[in-house]
Amino acid sequence: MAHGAKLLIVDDEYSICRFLEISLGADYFIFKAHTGMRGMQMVKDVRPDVVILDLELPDSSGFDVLKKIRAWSGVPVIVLTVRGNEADKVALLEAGADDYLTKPFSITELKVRIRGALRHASGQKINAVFELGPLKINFDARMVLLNECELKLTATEYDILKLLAQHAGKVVTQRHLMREIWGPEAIEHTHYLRIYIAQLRRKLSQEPSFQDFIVTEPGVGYRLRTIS
Amino acid sequence: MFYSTGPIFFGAVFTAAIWDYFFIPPHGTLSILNVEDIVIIMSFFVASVCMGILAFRIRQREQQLQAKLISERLYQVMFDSVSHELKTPLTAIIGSATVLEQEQKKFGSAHALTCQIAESAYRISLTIDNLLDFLRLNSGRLQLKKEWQDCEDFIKANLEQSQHVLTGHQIQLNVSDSLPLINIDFSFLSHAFVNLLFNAVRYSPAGSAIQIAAEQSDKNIIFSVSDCGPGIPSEHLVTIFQKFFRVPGSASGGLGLGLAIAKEIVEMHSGSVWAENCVGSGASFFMRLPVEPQPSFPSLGEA
Repeated sequence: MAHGAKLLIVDDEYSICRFLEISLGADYFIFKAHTGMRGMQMVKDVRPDVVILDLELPDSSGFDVLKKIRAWSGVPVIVLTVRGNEADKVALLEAGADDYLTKPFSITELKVRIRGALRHASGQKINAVFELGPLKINFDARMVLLNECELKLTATEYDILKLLAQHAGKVVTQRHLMREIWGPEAIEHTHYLRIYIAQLRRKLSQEPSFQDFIVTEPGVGYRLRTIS
Repeated sequence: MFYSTGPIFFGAVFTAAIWDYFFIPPHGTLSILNVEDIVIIMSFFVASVCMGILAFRIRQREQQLQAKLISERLYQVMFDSVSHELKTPLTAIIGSATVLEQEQKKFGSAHALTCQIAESAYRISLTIDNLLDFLRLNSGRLQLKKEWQDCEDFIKANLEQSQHVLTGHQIQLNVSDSLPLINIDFSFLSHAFVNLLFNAVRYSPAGSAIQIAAEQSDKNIIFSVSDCGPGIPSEHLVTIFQKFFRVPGSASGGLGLGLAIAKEIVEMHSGSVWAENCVGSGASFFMRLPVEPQPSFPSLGEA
């Protein structure tokens, strides 16, 4: 599926564009835009499958570009940011970015994110069953199987796992988790989340390959690891 | 508070004199003949001094605000451009190196060289982070964003993020069960912890073990990072946490900022850091954080 997808890189930095083009060119059709304006135009013209967007552009901030793209397009957007600004990352995700990567990043990380974004774009949510290695979740029956054995989860643990699974590979912000599970008035009580995530991890770690299955994104949220 | 009294006083005297000259009989002179006139002229004088001071203070406040605004903006611009300008080329270097790394696994020496490029670039990246932290800590503009966090999660997330630096070492993890939650700024305290990790990596032989532990002791949680390096000369056990201090004769490289930053960040969390030499060889670095009263958790009784 990934092969032949169209990738639009919006970044004014020649060195980054070049390295991305060389390393991703074998798997994807690469399009490049060096300004925010050009990037938005190309989203319309090229209709890319994934957009990689730098936050710092010569003519506008990547934030504005993202908002404008989101006004009329649902194309997955992966934003490139620098360290130390967790609030920005959360804001980006809430403004509709699908994922982010902190510079400097390795190409492996980027490839994982691109695959994740493509998978979500292809509408995986309709599935009634989620499968990842030895883990199976049947959403209709609210049943979780680990190595074919039923895994006993509390209602809240199940809800958290379900939400993460529906976005597998993508980061889910803790605000989003809090809102969905405990309601908007509990958004500040993030310690609920810590306790339940710790319990969930303990239960999932019966399966050794699931030791680090739920990844913490410091200050932002959690993601399910889709490949090891 | 300091006022420039000269102009204010002069202005008050001058206006009082003008009032006297034109409006207090006999007109056209500066003489004052009765007590009532003296009272009038004195109250006039006092009023103009007060107004002068008020005007001066308002002006001063305005200037301060303006200066603060400008310096804040400058600071932010500098911060953003430093991190962008330095991190972007590094991203290209690290990115390219990681591509090469994958393609060259078959050719031994080229692969080793590429790994070297990536590792060095990561090191520069960490140094930049430390310099930026140093600036941030010194700017007085830092506000911690504290949240309740899980200790084990904190350690594992940091190990995960420092993977590329830790690859040459065996990591042994020993975290006590059911530690209480800690109220910390996750990403900022991570810098402190990563600096302790990186210090252990840098000063211990490749392939040796690094032990990481967390346990509760009274009303504190003690995190520790122990290495198999040469240890620290006992006279330097305290000074290594000073800014720009490096143990004389130790391997070159490093600014001497990592441990100082770690100390400052941990102290902002009302904790402390210290180092001890291990029995045999190696050094241990400790990070103590106080356990705060735990947040209430109503729904634990769930089936």
